[in-house]
Amino acid sequence: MLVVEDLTVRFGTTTAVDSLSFELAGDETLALLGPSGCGKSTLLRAIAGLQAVDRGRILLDDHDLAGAAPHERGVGLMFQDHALFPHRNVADNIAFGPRMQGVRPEARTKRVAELLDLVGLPGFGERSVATLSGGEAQRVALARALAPRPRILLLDEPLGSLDRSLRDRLVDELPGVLRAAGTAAIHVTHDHEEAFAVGDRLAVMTNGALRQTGEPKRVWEQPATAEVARFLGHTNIVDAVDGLMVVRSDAAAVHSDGELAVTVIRSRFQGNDYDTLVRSREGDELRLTLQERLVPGAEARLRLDPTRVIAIRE
Amino acid sequence: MRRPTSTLAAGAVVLVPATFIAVFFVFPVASILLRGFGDDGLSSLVDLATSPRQRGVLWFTVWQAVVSTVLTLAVGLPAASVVARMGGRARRLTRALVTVPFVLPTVVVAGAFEGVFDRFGLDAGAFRLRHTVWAILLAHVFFNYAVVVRTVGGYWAGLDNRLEDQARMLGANRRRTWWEVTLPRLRPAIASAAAIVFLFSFTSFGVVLILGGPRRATIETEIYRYAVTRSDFSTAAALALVQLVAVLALVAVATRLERLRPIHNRQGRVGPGALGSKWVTLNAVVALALLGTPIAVLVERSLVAGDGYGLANYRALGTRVRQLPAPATTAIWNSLVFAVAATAMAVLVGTLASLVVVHGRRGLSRIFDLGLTLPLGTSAVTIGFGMLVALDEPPLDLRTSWWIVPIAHALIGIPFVVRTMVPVLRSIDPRLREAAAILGATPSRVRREIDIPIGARGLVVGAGFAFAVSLGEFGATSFIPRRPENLTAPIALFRLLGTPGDLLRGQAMALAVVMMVTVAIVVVAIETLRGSAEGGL
Repeated sequence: MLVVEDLTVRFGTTTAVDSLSFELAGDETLALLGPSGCGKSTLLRAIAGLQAVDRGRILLDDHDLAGAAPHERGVGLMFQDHALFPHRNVADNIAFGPRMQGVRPEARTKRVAELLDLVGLPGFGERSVATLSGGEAQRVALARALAPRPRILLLDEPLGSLDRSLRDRLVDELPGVLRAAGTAAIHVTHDHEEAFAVGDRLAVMTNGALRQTGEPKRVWEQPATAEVARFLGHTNIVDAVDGLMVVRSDAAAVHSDGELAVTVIRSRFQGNDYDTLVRSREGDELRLTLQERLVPGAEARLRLDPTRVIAIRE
Repeated sequence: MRRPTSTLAAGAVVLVPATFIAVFFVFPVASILLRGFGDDGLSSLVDLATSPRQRGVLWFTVWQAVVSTVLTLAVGLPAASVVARMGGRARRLTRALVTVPFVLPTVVVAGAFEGVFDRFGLDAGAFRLRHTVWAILLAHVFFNYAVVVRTVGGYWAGLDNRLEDQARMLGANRRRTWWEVTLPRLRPAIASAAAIVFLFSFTSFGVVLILGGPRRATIETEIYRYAVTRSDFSTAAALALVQLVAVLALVAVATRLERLRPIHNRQGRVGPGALGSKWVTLNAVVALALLGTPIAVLVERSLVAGDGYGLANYRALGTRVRQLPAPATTAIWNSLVFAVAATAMAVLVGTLASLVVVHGRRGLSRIFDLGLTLPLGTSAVTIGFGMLVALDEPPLDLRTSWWIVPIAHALIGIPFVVRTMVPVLRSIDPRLREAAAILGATPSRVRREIDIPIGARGLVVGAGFAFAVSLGEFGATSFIPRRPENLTAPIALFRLLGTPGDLLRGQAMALAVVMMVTVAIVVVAIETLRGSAEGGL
């Protein structure tokens, strides 16, 4: 169990992590979502012991990590661009952690084979890391991070450098691997779809602080602030009577006596449906997914599903 | 949570190189300074400034260096244009080939040129080159050709040729484009190469001593003459002081120029356009004539036996001649043993020092960086003279010790080790160290698992240079008292060359060939390793 209390990290006058607190249970995966520069990597580095902390505490299984060097923490970290050791082959990269722990060679070999199976690369042990593709390198990096059985695994944008389809595949596999390894994890990403897919819980971070934490579906359905809503992929945030209103892109349907009169700006076919941009009488632009094509410039009436319209009181 | 052993290890990392440099470099140089500024020294300094002979020496030192630099650039720049356009493999090979002369021992090169003068009758008469300034200049061009070709050629290869294409599209012809677009962009590389060539020519010792003959003297050879031939230490110290100041200034300029060299952005780059085949041929012929002739003649001369050819000269290396305290073969063996010992010391001290430069606290890192660059700038003669002056009293009476030779050679080799190691260590992605730490490696374990194995390639290259430098070292060694067990191959060669007579000439040529082949093997090995290192680990 990881407990972070009132954690603050400053670089000169800028505060990268600002009095941040959260807890993480033993086998839970927390998806930490935030724009680049919001301090999420700094938070991971602070937990890993690579970054000095200005204030606050980090407790791992009731043990205060203050003053513990990175190698004494029992924390795993996987870097965005793998950081595989170029002078060692795949097996030696994975065996590195167990070797540091003094695990015997036979047991190390066994552990390497186990992990290669787990990440779907059986028989890759003798390969040079220079010959690996991006996805393979990522899997090896994951295996290497898991090999010393860290109490918690920190993943810093682990899929950020991969192309879309590979990323989708790994997003599907990653939760299974983490569950099999039985380790808690913090998965940092700036991609909300990735965060939804991997996280048992989701935390949205901006400007060094957590703005909202909760189950992914709950957070998406009820964003606490406009900023969070925007970051979760909501594009339609409009003024309402008492605050703001988020109109989900799937909230509207064309209906002859719909309550919302709009002018169509553009309509783009995107496979199953049409990505449509409209302007309301009040002048708000909305981006909606509609089942039929509307002619740009035409007037239309839309009906809104009230369960898909979210009120935000800031 | 530092364990005592790791503190002890960290202490050794700093203390070993610091002590070595302090005792064998700082102390001797300080001794020279003390003598130079002492009463005798000061009056010698005044003599230096007033005596016409000394003023002549200073003037000659400067102008031969200027002319050497200009000539080297004139011959080297066209060649650099060709090398810049070569593919990876051809470029590596060419680079290795032109580098062989650069690392050849000065005495070997001097011997080769003497051989050329003999062979083509340039040792007397109207076209006499022997013991003229032309002999010195030619040898300097021979040596430093590689500096220009490598520095400028490598830089040129990285330039984005789209600017040249653009100039051509805007109506500039070839020559105009070169003059207005290419040359200005090459300026940093040319300036940096020129500074290095000037520095090498300024501190050139063996070439001037042997090829210049008794009447041509630079500061370096004057220090030698006063200290070794006349035992006039105060004049030698005064000269060494002048040399030290001049060289430090030159090193500062060279380092500054090197830093100013921008790093290329390789994205979307287009390589330099093709060259005319005549131009390529012309450069190949010049390179072959300049670099090939002395080497070919040297080999030919070494094989002259009576009226024909044979191996008599090589066989004679095994027998002792009156001019040498031991047979030349013993000198070769000594040199190899010295080189191994010197390389071992240079590697140990250099590696630890590099770790401090890269990982030490800022102040410490600076001091080490500077302290290790100084021996590189300080001429070998100054180092040899300093040891002669300083290490003559107990507890540091090393003048008669076997160790003094490898120690002097190690001092000269350390900067090579550091200069190849530090960039490699600096280029290691810091996240590799972080990854290792997170996987459970202690800080000293991180050094052992990451820095040392990855730095090993750089180390091998640095060690190779240290070895080659030791094999050919002449300047510092010439100050060390001569005893049979101290006799190195370069010293033996110098003495053979200095003695008239065909028989010893032939032996000298054979000895020079043996040294050349040994050094060439080391250099080719280094270049091969360096080449494979460039292709990614």
